[in-house]
Amino acid sequence: MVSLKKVSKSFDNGLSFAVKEIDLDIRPGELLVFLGESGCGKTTTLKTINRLIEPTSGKILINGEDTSKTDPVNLRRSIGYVFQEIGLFPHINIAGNIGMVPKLLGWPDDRIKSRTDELLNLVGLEPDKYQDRMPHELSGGQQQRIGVARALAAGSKIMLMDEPFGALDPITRTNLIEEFARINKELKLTVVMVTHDVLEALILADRIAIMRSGEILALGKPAELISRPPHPYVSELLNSPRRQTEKVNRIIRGDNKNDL
Amino acid sequence: MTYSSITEQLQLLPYYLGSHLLLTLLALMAGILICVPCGVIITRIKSLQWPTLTIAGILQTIPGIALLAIMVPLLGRIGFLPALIALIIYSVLPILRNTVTGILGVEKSVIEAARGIGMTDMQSLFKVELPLALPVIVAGIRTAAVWVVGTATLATPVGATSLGNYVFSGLQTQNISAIIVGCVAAAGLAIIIDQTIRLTEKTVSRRNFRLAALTAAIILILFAAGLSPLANRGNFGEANKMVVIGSKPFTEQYILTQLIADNLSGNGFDADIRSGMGSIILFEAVTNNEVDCYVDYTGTIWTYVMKRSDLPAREGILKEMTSWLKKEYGILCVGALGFENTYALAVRKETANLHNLNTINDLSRLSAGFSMGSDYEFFTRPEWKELKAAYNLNFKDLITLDPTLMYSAIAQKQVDVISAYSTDGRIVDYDLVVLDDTKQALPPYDAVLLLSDKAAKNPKLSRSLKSIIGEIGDDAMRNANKIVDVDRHSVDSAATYLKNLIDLSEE
Ligand SMILES: Nc1ncnc2c1ncn2[C@@H]1O[C@H](COP(=O)(O)OP(=O)(O)OP(=O)(O)O)[C@@H](O)[C@H]1O
Ligand SMILES: [Mg+2]
Repeated sequence: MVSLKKVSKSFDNGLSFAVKEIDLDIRPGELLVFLGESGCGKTTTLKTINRLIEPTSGKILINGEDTSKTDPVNLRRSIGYVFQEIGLFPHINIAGNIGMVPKLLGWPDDRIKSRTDELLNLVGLEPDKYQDRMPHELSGGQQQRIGVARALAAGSKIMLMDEPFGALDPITRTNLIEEFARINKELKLTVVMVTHDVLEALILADRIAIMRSGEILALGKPAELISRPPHPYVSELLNSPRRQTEKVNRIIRGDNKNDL
Repeated sequence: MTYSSITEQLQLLPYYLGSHLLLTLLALMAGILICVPCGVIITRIKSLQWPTLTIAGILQTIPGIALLAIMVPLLGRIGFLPALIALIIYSVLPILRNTVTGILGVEKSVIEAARGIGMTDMQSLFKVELPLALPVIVAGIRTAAVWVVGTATLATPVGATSLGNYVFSGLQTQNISAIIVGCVAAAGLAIIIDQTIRLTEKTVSRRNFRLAALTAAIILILFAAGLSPLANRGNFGEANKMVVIGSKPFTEQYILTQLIADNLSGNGFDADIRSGMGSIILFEAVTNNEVDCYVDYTGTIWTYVMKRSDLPAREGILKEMTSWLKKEYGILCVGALGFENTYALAVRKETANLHNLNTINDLSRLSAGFSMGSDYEFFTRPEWKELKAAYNLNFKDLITLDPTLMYSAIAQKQVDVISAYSTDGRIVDYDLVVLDDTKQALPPYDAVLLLSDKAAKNPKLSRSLKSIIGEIGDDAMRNANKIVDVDRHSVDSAATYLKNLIDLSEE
């Protein structure tokens, strides 16, 4: 469905590459996670898909069509995008933020209204209470949910999500991740999600692409990558939650902290 | 300052305020219409940013009065248009700069989100960037509004009526009431316009329709107020009945324009007074038919306009000037009013006594130890060069002053010599001694009434004005000036004094 062909991006005229020759086929209905440390090129890769960033070389095909030959505005309207910095419009209320893309697409008002209500319910915020608020009147986590609702609003089949659950507390986060997994299966979305949270990746991903310094180091199902890590970095990264759990267990057992 | 003198001034308010309002509103609107789009464009084309803002910044450093004055020769005309353009230029920087800062200040993540969800550049601009930049842009417009309202008071010398008429004439005629009315009105106007803009912003950002109606009503009222006095004064009516009278910026001229205006209204004309203009601007305005009628002085035309340095007899100058003006510009010299107002070098009586000064010649040996004060024009005029050469004058200091302040400066011994006007009532009042021009270096300055080519074609006009020709003698003019400058009565009462004298002699 979405194919990246040798996609590279340099911000300094070829001196260094933020993204290097990425080859990747994302299957319809799949949830693919980009996992990697800060600065490894996850956001850059994601933005080349809806042409927020034009690749320096390589091309991207969506349903077989070269995106560089399509109108970027229409392309972006057909792809949901959740921004790492959320990016709600501060002068427009919640309903207006969620309904922005449908409005750009010319939906009638009543259809937009019912769609906004539906989405607010979906992300767990009561429409009556929240629709008229301004973005700054919401908590960071609530804003993030509005960001997700806005991306879903026009019913795009492709979603690009850049750390959509970053600003949430562990409990809400777990709930929302499970909720999202359910929505996702229901709507049969094709999702490319960026995270540096290993647990989140393991829970949600159909496949994980592990990135390091602009390259895909490994690509596979979570279980495969854990059982047969193709690279020491992969096992180190994927096992970090387990190591953390062990540490936590030891604290619970009352071991001496200095031994940790 | 009395209650009645304030009410007298207030009668002029509708016309001055209306003209001021129209000038500032149009300048601001044009400023907004030009600068906001330009600001938007230069946020899109980064390479234009620096040069545009730098040029705007440089324009801003030109003093308001200089910018206004420079527009006159550039456009080759006086009055509303050059004032308007100068004010538009004055509004550029704050509006342009704030538009750019406002738009560039919108958070990058929000603009990226606008792009990312599929807004076009225009949609991002109108739905996201401009609304978010609006408070900053409006702040710029409000700054511009206050500047423009203030600077518009300086439009008076270029022949555009404004609240500055109060200030300029008030300064010349020492009429505190006029100055106060002018300042209060300008400040009030600045506040009203500022608050209207604030209200407009609220309306726009809140999409409140009742507020919108209110704002629209206020703006309409402001515009109507700006246009109404013009309509009343017949600018839109019969053009040939409207006579524009110009004046230079000193008391005598204010009195004479008032006298002429009264005479004309008595004969069925509408008179529009453009007061306080500089000599050259005024002369050019008459050659362009922008001013119909004014009083000038033979010596000024002779040296300044005709650029002559020879000095025939008084009668000869008048005759030659009259035919020259007719031939070159079609300007009609209706005749001499009867008095002469020469530049006269004056000193304090005690100085004269101490050094035994009677003539300008007596000054030559002392001039190195004296400082001299004069009006805005004299030191740049050819007469000064002639005078300096003829008497070998070499003052240690030449100080340019407002004519009104010149007299207090000599009284307070800040200068020792001034170029007084011979008809000035203050020469006597300040106990000054006029030094004789024994070498006749200065030309005669007979006051003459001039009509523009266009106005000269209206026989009824020159016939009406004939009645004041030859009727105002040196003493009459000096007394009239004294009524204003020394006794602190209004220009009107001085004009009435002259009118009564003329009526008396006709009987
Ligand atoms: N607009 C830009 N101009 C120059 N360099 C950039 C730009 N955007 C990103 N980079 C660089 O490209 C590299 C990859 O950045 P990217 O934002 O893709 O990282 P990331 O994997 O999303 O990191 P994080 O998890 O911190 O968001 C970084 O070294 C970054 O400094
Ligand atoms: Mg990122």
